[in-house]
Amino acid sequence: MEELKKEMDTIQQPAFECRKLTMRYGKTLALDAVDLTLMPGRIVGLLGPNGSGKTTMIKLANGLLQPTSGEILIAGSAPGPESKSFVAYLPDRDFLPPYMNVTQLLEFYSDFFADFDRERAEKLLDSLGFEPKQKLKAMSKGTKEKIQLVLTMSRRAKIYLLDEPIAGVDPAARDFIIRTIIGNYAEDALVVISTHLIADIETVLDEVVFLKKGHIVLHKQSDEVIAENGKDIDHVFREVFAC
Amino acid sequence: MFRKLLKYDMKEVGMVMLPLYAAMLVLAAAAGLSMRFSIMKGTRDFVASTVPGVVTLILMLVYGALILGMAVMTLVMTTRNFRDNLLGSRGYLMNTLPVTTQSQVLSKSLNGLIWIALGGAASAVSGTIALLFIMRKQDWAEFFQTMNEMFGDRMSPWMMLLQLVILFVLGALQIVTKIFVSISVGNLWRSKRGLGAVLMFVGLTVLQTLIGNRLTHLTPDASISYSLMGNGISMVFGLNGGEAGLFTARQMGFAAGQDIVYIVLFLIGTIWVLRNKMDLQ
Repeated sequence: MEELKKEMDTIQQPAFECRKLTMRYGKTLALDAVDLTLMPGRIVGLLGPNGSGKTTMIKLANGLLQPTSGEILIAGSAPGPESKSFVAYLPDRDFLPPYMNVTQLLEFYSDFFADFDRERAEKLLDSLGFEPKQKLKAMSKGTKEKIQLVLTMSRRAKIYLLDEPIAGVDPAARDFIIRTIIGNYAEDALVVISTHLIADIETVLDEVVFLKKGHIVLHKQSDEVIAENGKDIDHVFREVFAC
Repeated sequence: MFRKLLKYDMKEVGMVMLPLYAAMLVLAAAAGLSMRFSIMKGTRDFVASTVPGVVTLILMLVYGALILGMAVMTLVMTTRNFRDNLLGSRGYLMNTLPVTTQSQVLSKSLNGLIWIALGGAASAVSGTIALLFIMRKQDWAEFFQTMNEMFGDRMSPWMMLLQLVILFVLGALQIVTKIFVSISVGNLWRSKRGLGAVLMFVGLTVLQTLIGNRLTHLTPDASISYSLMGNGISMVFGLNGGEAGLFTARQMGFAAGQDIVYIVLFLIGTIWVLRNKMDLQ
């Protein structure tokens, strides 16, 4: 099965590709000539401590930053309106208009994203007991994060870029988030989850990418990492990033 | 997609502006009605010492403050709409929509222009409502006769209105786009971005004044472009030594041309910065 998957990879176009990708903020080098290729149909953990360059890479993939040099390709093209139509992005902060209520947010996503599955979103929101007329600004931080995740995962996107989806939430919310991600992404989509909280998500990862000070120090299949080191990814991560 | 962007931009600003317009209309009607009861029947003099007179004064003060507040809020809301949606935390949503940067910037600019125009219209309508309560039929007749005597054969009021509307629309759009390019350039600063935007705005204004002065040296026809208000008054009343009359085609060409050039430059600058130098915090 794994061999078949690898064979498929060779004929598929990469969903996400960095070629000598470099990003500099003033004197700080956030990404240093990074080369990375990710194929569709995988759940990839982009793992690294704070300041390792994870968010920068995801912002570059969304066209929210322009690289200092090198390039980043989304399904073969530079980020732009076309790639944004099939990339579902969950940033690491509140990003929805606070004056909107749940119904207005559903309308907004339906208006702009052709791949938004409103029925799926409504089902998920119903299961969480949201009031359709409740305004976002009246909600708690945790509730807002759940809505953001539901809206993002209700898109039938080709690529999901999830930046720190489980940071700063309680364990019960983490379970909900992981269940929502796993239960809603399309099988042929690429899911990139950036986090430094490995233990909670390592069981769902097909591949891991370790990012350290703007360099990729490891990119392998999860089971290879576990087999080679004889320990889980969380422990390998702690060894690699030991202070 | 552009229409959808504009729809959401207008909704956002409208939530604040529409109640303000409604309050203006209600206050204008109340002030007009109150004034009607404060005017002596025979002499038609306004009596401020009676209760209706005091109420009228208070209502007119509040109405004036509301018009001023509405003008300030129009600029604040259209500026916030641009800054929060494209350069603030909401930029993480708006800049990842499948639309071009041009569409985003044009939608915000048109939104600003529409609300400035609606603010002007709401002020005019509310003022007319107040006058409808105060003025009698014969007052209106006198008013139109005076207007006719003032302008009469010198200019058509419709042509005058058209010229002023053209200059107002272009002038408003120029200011809106100048604010947007200033905010975008200010956003390039790592910190104190607000200060960067203000400095950019002041710098651009100084530069425009210098260019305007230079052009006026070359031809006096260029002078109306950077003193619309003064020249508008001069056009109507013939003040400042000028002769009352419509702007010539050449004057209009210089004024509109300069505004259009600035609008295009500011739009290009804003789009370039957002596309190539965006740095959301």
